[in-house]
Amino acid sequence: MAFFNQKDKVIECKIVYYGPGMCGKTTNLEYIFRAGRSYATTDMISINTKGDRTLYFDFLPMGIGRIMGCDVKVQLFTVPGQSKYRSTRKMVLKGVDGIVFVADSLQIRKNENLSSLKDLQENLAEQNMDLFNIPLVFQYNKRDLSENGIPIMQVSEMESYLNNKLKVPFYTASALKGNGVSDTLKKSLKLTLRHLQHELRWAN
Amino acid sequence: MEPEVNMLLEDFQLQTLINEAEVYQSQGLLEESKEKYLSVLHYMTDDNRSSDTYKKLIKTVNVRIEKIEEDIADFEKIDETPTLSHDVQNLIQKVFSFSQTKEMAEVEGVLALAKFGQHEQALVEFHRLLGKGVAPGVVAKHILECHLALSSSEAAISQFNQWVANGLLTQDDLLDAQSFLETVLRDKGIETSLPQLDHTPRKKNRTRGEQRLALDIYSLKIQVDDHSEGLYEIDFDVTFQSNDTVSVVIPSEKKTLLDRFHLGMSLPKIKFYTPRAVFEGNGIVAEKTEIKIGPKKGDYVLDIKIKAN
Repeated sequence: MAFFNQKDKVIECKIVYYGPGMCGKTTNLEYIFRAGRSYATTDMISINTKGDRTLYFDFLPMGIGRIMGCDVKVQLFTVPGQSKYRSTRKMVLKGVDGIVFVADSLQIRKNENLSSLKDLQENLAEQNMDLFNIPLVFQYNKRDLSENGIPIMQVSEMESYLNNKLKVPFYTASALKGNGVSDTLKKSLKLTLRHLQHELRWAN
Repeated sequence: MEPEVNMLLEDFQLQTLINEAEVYQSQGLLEESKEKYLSVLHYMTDDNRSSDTYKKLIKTVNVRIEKIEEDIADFEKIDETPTLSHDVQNLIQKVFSFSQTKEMAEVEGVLALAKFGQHEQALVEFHRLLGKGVAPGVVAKHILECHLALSSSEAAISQFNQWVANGLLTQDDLLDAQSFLETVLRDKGIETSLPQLDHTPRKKNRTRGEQRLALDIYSLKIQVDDHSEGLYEIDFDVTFQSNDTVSVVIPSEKKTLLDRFHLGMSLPKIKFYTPRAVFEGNGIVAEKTEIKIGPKKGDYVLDIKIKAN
């Protein structure tokens, strides 16, 4: 839930990185933290287990400067991707303003992408939110693995089975190398702030 | 792979399978990696070669499969509710509280702690809130929930008995807490007799439906009869609950939906979702209020008074 302090002209919003387990959500935030350290207001906090699996969430608060006369602060979260952590994902989604859905390009993870997207839709619905109305950006991650001879899905295939109805912006990425990470975040911020401008009228 | 087996990797199919297995393992996709290594074994068995190099490769792959199985077993054994650092606990309380009122935001923050498995710290914080007189009825139930989550039914019963003795809770709050505790203990198959309380402040014969209201309702599903669309169901998140009344927010852009609810309107067959169960009941539209301040300014709060079946 975005917070707008009209007196001090500060707006705070929340963007959640969603997607199946091991798709690269945490890697996205790690890259953002490394590359945009000057924007981070504290260290990145990760609550994970052995093998770098997210247990609860990753959290990265950032101040991205003044936009249209307001100080804009954003909280970036990831959810745990494994299916058994559904209740945690619901908690982390509370008050979400924008979503980055990180899809795994690996051919063998096709079904997991779809399950995770359905899970997102259901969890949003439980909060009276609609996947079709929330600011959403897709990121098709791990594109670099094709260089190692690993079977990955064509972008057109991913678009067809994930984004055919939603028709939201998408980016290809290799989060480990940082490719596509900034573009995804920038687009998500742009959509989220535009949406909040409409909802909260935080800038005139 | 060991150098002496590299020659085998000239076999393209074998090389592809091993490559995939290695990459999936490095990605943490253990099940997928194991499956590929099993395919390697299957491929080699089919190939029916029996050179020493082949045997070495089979041995290497088996060792890798064993390691993956160990890792999978380790993941299944992990502590899913580790005690987090004080800083992280504070962060959880801060970032998972959304209410505009300070007191309710504090309750939400501590409730988030409990939901992230930090029951011991949540207990400390809930007791602090109870001491300050913040939402005692709600906080008391969460204290009991924390004790029960820590697998300590005795502690929950002892806590309840303490409240009965020390008068920290009002009679209504005690009745709520008692009803909640009795329901949970009964569900757990624990037979115990809690102290008898004076029921006079409430209806003499509390019905089953009303007793259930001691549970926290986090969402509900309401049937709406629309003349054009017919009967359909809508889900609402509960933003506040006080005894037998729950509040939900309807965004301003859904004013037409709000208009379908008029004061005093009966709402049959509502499904109430609690952390433990779903139950069905009826309700009455008790209040409709426009939010005047804060980020939800312009939205509406719909209060629904829950009636027993």
